[in-house]
Amino acid sequence: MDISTLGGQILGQIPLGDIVLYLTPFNLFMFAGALIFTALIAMSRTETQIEAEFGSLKDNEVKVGLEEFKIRRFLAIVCGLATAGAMITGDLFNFTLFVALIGIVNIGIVSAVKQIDVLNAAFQYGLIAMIASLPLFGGAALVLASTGTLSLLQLSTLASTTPMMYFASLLLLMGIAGETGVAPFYATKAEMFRTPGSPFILIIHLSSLLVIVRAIEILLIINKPF
Amino acid sequence: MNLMATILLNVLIAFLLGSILFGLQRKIMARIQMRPGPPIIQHLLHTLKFFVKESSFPRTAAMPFYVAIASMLCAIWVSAVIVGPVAQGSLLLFFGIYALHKIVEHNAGSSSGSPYGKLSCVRAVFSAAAEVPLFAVLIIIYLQTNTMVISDIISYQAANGPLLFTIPLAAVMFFVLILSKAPYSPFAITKGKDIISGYETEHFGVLRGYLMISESIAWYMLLWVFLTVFFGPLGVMGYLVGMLALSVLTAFINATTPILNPNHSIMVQVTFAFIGIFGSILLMLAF
Amino acid sequence: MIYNQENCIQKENQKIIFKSTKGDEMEKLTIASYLMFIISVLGIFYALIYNPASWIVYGISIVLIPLFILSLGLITMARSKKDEQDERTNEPFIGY
Repeated sequence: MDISTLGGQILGQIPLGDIVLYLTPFNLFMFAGALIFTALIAMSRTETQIEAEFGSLKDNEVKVGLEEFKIRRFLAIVCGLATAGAMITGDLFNFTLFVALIGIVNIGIVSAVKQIDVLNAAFQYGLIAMIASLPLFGGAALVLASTGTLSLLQLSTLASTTPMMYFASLLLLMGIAGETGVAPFYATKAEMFRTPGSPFILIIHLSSLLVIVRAIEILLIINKPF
Repeated sequence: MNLMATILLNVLIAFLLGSILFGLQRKIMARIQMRPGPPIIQHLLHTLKFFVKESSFPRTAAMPFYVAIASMLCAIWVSAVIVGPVAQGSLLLFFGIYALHKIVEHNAGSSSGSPYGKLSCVRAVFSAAAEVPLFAVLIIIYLQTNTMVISDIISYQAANGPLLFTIPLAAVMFFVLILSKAPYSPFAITKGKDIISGYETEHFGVLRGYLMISESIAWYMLLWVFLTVFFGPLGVMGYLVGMLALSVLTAFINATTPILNPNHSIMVQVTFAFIGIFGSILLMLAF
Repeated sequence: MIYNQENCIQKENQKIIFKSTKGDEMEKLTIASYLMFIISVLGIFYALIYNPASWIVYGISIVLIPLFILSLGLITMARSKKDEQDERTNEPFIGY
């Protein structure tokens, strides 16, 4: 439907060639939120996790080493910028590209950790993310094939939805569910969060949730059941 | 009255009323358990008390992230007050704010370094999976009213009657969502006593008071959105009575149910979601 | 990731290092909190009196109202006694 019934009135557009970014209060708020969190990640240090030691009363401190800190911070900032881009983009393919990038970088953020169960969980999540990239891009391709456009502003002005567009949205939904780790894929993703490095695992969770909320807006733009 | 004064007044009302409603819930739960219970203003008094206590910031915490996350919680619920009662903007924004609340629960827990916070952090990720009812409610409201903007939803209900009667299962799903944010609810896995206080365990003094203020505003806003979206245009009295009724109902449910284990909590919420989604689709197709 | 098992033994040495910096940290915190308080009060009064465009008011309220509450809390919070100050950093889980 009309974009202004979803996110509030359109505040403006930023045309970058044929990829147009549009801003409604909803998109702007999510964009600003993603950027603020990215800035927080860039300037925070990591926490020290305290664990109990078996066989004595001492504490075990689990820290993030310097090399690991630098690479994980870089990947976390990239993930934050990708999330911010996914929030205001007006182009469907751009959105799916950002989501795929988020999926890849999420694996990267935890793969520098040296805990076996976390690496196992990241591996399983990575498998699902790779499998999900097929329906993700396939859905975007089907939207292009059935409507001739990838621009969300143009898609919102179309009169009706063809069955192929319904199928494409279903594929998109499956792709996003796999990449971001919604139910039932959240179980392995949750295990990835048991590692130290709180600012970096923030962006893993934040990117997933913000992408899901934006995906609802996009799916409601594409589908017009009435 | 100018815009800033409206915002300040609404934030103040949200904080005060939210605290009183929390206190009322504790009172009702206590009376069901046949004990006198604390006074109704207890939550408000605790919030103010924490502001004058000595605070300590854990040596192991990730600074300044640790303090910034608590500030983000207040910032997002102040923006919820702006989106709701002040500007009556888009419902999608409100649910974006709800998603950010989950993020804050997640990171308030992991940023302190305490093992209880870490457990609560992982449980917050699990509980984010129970946002499936949230999305279903959004989509069903959109399909019914063609809009997500709160002011248009209000005018739709002024013309066509309350949405509670046309999409009742969506109202039930939203109520389950509200229930999961109530204290001592069966779905309150991130704050269960088995992990001390969950993500709030290492937030002392100022930060604990800060979190309590934000949670009072959050409770008020959740109830406000429910009443506005499902009951339509209500006056001040209508909102008061509605919020009281919802708080009393959640208090009764919380007093008589145990806190479910994390997997069961998620599965119950997801089951409610499936029943709600398929039931609503069937209702829409039938009528 | 460094499994630092000698940390607890090193803590005795660290105590000496921490002792001298805690006092300055509290002073810095006090100055910073007063600064935040003044900035937030000024911003809120500016929005109240001059009534600028609505997006400016939204921005001011989202940023400055939480900052105001935080700074108020940091100003009103009780401070620990000087001789107990380094206990608060080094023994955070024992508060007796």
